Amino acid sequence: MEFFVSGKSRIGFRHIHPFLAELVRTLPALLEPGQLSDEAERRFYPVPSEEEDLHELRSDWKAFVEPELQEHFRSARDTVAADLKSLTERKDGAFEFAIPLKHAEAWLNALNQARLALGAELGFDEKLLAAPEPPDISDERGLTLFRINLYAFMQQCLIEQLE
Amino acid sequence: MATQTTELPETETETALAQPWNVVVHNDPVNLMSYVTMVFRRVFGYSSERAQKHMLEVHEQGRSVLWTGDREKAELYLQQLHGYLLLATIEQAGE
Repeated sequence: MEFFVSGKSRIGFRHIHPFLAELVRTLPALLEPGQLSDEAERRFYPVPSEEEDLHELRSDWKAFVEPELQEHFRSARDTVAADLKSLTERKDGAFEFAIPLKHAEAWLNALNQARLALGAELGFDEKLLAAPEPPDISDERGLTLFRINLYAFMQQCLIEQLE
Repeated sequence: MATQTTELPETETETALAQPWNVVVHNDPVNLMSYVTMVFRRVFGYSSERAQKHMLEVHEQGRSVLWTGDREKAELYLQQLHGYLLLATIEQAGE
């Protein structure tokens, strides 16, 4: 799988193995309403302060800020879902897709949502996520860790392009 | 013309708003270091060096105070950080 830049306004990934392409294609489905675990919901919408006497701030945050965040996250997910319609199989069996550079922010956000949702759901810690050995994808946790790492690779490519 | 000023009693809310507030980012095992650094640069306009210093503080010490100032602005920064899915809170400075 390779990141590429096409001209000044398009970027993309090519030479994507069919197995990886499926993990990319199913990214938006992970973030569909109702798909998030309670752990992921808590991670997406953390309390604004840990100070106990700030009840008003916490209730205001829930009432006014969380809906805006939900809309922001939904918009990123929808952009990615629309972009992924261009995921195409080439003659050699590998897949590729290209997106407008201006969608990179939405992709970064959606990739982060997916990584956080998966990590929160399975309770992954720093040690496991930083493990140098490749995960065993024959079990669910290993496959999830592999997926998190794949999305991290894609995020890193986008960050390097944007910075 | 002489003017007379009357000092009004300070309410608790006014006191809380007047005190400086910290914007704190907490460690998270999932967010990439490069992503966190990029967010600090964008939200606070920090240089690469300063953003990286805060990122390392978060990573090594579990938290970093990114900014201190009035509460209204602290809440705006907090909302932006939550939009980037960073684990962040605000707290009264000096606590």
